[in-house]
Amino acid sequence: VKKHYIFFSLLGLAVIPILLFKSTSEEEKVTHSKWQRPPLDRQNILLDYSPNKSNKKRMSEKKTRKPAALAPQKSFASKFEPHPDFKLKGYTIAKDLGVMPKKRYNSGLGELIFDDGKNIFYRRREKDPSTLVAFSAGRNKFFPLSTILNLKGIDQEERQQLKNQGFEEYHYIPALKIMFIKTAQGELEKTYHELGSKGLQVQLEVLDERPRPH
Amino acid sequence: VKTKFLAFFLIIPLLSQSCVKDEGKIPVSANTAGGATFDDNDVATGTIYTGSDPLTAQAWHIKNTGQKAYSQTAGLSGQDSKINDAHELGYTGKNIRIAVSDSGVDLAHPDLSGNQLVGEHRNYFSDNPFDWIDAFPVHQGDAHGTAVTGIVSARGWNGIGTRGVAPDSKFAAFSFLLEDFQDSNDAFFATSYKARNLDQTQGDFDIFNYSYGRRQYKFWEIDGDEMDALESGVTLGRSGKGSLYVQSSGNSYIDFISSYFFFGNSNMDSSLSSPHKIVVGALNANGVVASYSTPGSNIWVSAAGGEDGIIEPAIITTDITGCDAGYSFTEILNLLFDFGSHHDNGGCNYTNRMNGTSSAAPVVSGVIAMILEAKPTLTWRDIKHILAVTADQVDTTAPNNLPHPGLFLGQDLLDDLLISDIATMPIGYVYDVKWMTNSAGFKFSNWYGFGRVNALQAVLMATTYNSNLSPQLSFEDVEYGPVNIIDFSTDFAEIPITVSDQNMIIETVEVQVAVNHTSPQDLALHLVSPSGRVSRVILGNNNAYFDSSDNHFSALTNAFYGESSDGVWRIRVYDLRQNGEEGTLERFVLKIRGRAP
Repeated sequence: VKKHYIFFSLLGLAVIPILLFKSTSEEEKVTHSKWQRPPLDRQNILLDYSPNKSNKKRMSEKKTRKPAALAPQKSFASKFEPHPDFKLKGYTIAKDLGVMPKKRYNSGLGELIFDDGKNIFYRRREKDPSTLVAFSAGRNKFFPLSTILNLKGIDQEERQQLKNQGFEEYHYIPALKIMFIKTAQGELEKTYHELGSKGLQVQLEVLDERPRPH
Repeated sequence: VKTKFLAFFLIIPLLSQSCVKDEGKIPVSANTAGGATFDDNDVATGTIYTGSDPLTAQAWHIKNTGQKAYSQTAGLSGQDSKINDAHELGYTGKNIRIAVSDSGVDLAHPDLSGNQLVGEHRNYFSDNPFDWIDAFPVHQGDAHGTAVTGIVSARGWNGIGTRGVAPDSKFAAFSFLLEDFQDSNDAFFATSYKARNLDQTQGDFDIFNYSYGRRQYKFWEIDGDEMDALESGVTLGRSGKGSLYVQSSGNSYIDFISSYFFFGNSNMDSSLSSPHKIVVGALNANGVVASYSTPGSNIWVSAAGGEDGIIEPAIITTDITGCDAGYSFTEILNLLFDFGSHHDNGGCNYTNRMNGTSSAAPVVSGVIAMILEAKPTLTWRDIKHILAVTADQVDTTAPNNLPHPGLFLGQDLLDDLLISDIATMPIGYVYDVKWMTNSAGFKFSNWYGFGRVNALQAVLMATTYNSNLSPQLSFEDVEYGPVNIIDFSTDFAEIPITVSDQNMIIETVEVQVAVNHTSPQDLALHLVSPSGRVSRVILGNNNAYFDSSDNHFSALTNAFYGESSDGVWRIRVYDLRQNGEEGTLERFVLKIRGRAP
């Protein structure tokens, strides 16, 4: 009984702020390393389980493609113009949005579109050199693009040639022949096209969610 | 619901009080380790040991004598990986080189500093991320890496603290993970996760320990470059014998992010579906699956991970030194042990609350270090083989059929979470099974892999292991649909692939399955081998995101290890949710890796 009491208490802690405040922020507020779940007893429930057991209560409404969530989300897909020059599997690159660390953003920079808790994604003005932005339609979230470009299939000779041409190396992994090229905010598109025009396999990198401690 | 919210705060003082009351009630039980006899009761009353490791008396993952490990309840005596037995035979992972890629390590920790590989640490968050000097944690709360490293490589028999599973192994700390303590800044945009991720697979190390992973609320795409990097490691590492990559399966059995619940599967993190990794699930001190441990057919073995350390035992290990850093820094309950109020941990240099599959992975890394010490000529595949053959089957009590984890939440909560029907299966459908036996005689489980790693049997087998496995072969084929997937039914959509004249003994099987379906999170995927055995490679009704452009699943299963490759393979897709959503099975790619008989 005590275990269940604690478990539901923790669930309450997690669920209530969402229900009460209806936060629109997409920031994940809970991590495993800080929130440790009291033990579930997987074994006990098995004693009462049979595979044919059915619940009488069922939802009448149809599910959508997305998982069932507590807070309905407005789609951000209509909030930006797709960039015609960039194709990236799983993402759409926004032509008219930029991103800025939250503490440096002010409304004068442009309309706030999305706040991930750490960064502000906003409608950037022409010649604003801020970092490009990728959109994940499935998750309805924006992510910054790295200013580092990935180049595949670069041997040592090509690597040296690129360095001689003034490209700044961020890192090189010889076993994989992958070279990482440093650019700056506002120069990413130019450098991407410059390397692409040389026939090199150049790739953008989305700064998506990082792995977390298990 | 408000009552539940308030109840959480009301229970905090109760928990603290119970811990206070618990002191001095630790049962008396003998724990023989390293030639010295310890007594839990003596530890609790502060007896100082010389020439040994006092906290090892509470380290049930080394030897389970039914210790409480400073929690409220005792584990089950004997439920361990026989690590102490291997130590007593003299195996300690001597000089085996382990890269712990994590959140950095307190390199000055007195129980760790003597085992570090000076000059080989990497700090990917320094100003020049590939100019490595040290790997101290970036933030005083980044304690995870110090705890993981202590589990595998804390010094043994030095008169302080605890003991690693491989106490004479040597570690290099990679500061690779970064907890989200600090604000974003412009420098963040000038980083490359991919560069760090690929780099941390490379180097002259015997074992790479990865106690981390992506949140399993969605199906993450495979990074082909990462797969190439791992292949390079098992091909070139250890002078061609192959480095070992050990990774935790995840803590998402039941999990949630900000707005919804999901039910994780280690195949959702495609990085774990590499045949070159050893994926590890977690057990608690009673020797059964830990409450959080993510299941998946890509799990190889399981090991101690523990529970919360408050009610049930977690793992005792090293913490960032001092009472203003590490677990004591992140402390929310000010528990006696972590916070330095317990005489066994006055300096706050240890924690009793490390848990998760993060803890299970370094246990296995430590066992592998001992195997390598016993027989350095073993290849990475020989070691996987030894782990599988010697693992102990655990949790064999009936029933064998497993329910959807949503049943643990209860119907009222499922209703509140808008997933009322998620745990309801079509009549006659079995969500998962605890154990299956394949035609080669291996017992396999999505919860446990081949079972709990057994250090004693593994080192013994290694010492008498005379011939390496023959070179690895592979076979790949694809077949196409479409085949209709029926909503909420035990009728399945199936595509077969016939394998002939390959004559391989199977090591791993990978599948890629493309569907055209409006609700792919409803789908379960079963792979049926020519022997008729079934591996549930994706468990259905997981409530996961699915933003792949062509709705394809990637998964790996170890369930058919040792079976024959030839015959008809079938992928079967079931729709487990009654919501009118239907679709088609479009493509089935099968890749088998194995060896000649």
